Amino acid sequence: MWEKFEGDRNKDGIIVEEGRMIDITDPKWGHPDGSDFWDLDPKLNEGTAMLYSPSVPQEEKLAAGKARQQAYMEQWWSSEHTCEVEKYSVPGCEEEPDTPVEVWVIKPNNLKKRKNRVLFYVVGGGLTGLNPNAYPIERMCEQHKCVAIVPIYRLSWEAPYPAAINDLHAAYKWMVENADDLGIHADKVVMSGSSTGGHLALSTAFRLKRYGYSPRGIVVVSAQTDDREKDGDSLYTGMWDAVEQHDGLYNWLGRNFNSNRVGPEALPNHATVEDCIGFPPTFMYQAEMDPDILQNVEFYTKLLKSHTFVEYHVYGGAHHSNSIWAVIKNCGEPSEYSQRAADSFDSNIEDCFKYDLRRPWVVDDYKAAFKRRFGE
Amino acid sequence: MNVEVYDYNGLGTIIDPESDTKVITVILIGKQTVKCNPRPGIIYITGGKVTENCAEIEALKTYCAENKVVLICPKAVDEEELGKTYQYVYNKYKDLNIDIEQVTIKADDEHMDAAEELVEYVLDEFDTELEDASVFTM
Repeated sequence: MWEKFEGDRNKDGIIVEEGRMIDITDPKWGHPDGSDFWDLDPKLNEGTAMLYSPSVPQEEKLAAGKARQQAYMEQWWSSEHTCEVEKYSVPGCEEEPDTPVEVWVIKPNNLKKRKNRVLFYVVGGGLTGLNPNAYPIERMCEQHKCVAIVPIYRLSWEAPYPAAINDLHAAYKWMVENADDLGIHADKVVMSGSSTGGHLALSTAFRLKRYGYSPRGIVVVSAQTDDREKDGDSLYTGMWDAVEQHDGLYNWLGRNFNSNRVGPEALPNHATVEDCIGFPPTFMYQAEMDPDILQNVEFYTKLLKSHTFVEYHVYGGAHHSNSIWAVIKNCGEPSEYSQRAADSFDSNIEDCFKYDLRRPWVVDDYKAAFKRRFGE
Repeated sequence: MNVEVYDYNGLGTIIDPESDTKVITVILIGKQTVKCNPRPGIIYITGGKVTENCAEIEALKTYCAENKVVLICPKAVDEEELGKTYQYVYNKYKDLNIDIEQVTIKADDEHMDAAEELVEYVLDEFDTELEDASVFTM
């Protein structure tokens, strides 16, 4: 077993029996072109793991989490930027009006005078860290000639679910209400993010749907879609494996973890097919060894059944932080292999901007079918 | 050359010269004739003066045939309504056999303001930078 386990359990006593989970540290499991980020040093993840470990006291998490966030922010603000970055404090959403949210507006220098496209970018990090330096946000703005809206949402050690969703909702609402001042087109918003960024983008889209907002599309990488483990998944150990996903989401959801009481605004696969009707066009890029890969597929089938425009790409022999994603997020050295995935990813973002792939008539069709079957 | 004149969605009139065609093989089914060599399109704003029965229709048909261009002549003059014409062309350019990269906007003297507004509207809504609008006289 991997170094982070002693025998068959980790230091919090979570049992990982041999034969139930497979050690994928050996790069034989991976695609050869993605193997350069395969054998991970577990020490790299210790700082993150303590932030969601159930055995670490909350005060300790708060202190460590704040210190780490401060370091990330200092790195961001002291770095040289190719885009203009503005920081705003915006009002809370309807569900938590008294909690303001920090939002960054990132503008490249190849924008139009007004009505620009928007990349609503949700930074990932297991809901324990929010490190904007780890994602090529500015490159994406320049490439797609769009403004990025980057909400600095609350992390699990600061406030549990639904705090992060409320923050993202607030940022979206503020963006729409201030579209002209920001020089953006409120109907040309593509949401994106990797890992937790993908999870929160998808979950927030369910919240936005409830409030009548309709993003142009959602393009995500290795999004978590479910906290409920199912037979036959969570098979592998590695960076962001089943144990880490379990602890990370447990820390966010608390006693609502592994429960059907919370809906898709918590984790997208909590949605029913009916919840998915009218969902924005969705493009998902997943790794074979993402811990909830089967729930991912299940979520994809729900989107299909609801006639949402949806594409699902799953990369064999890739784990959550594999170098297949090296161009889309900063993990590993970029290679021809990772560029292939990034080209496809970027073309999906471009297509969402260029064409309106939303299917508003789906909602009307369903209403009509319901009426035919059950009357007025 | 056959030049068709027809209404599009009640928004105005299209003057559409016959397209070149080619035969393609559809695997397992057979052969099919399809349009090829997409033509430039001109959105020509006159406030609805161009109709199937207008005095200049024959001259316009000749112009389209000789230059192998499609004229799309909206009735509207306000930006939002003109936008519907561009949306129509954007959605249907393959059926219309128009090269979407070669769409320009022209107007008679009286409607140049509307034409310029449409160029701006297309940039706002479609992120497409069209050539500046120019005058075209029937």
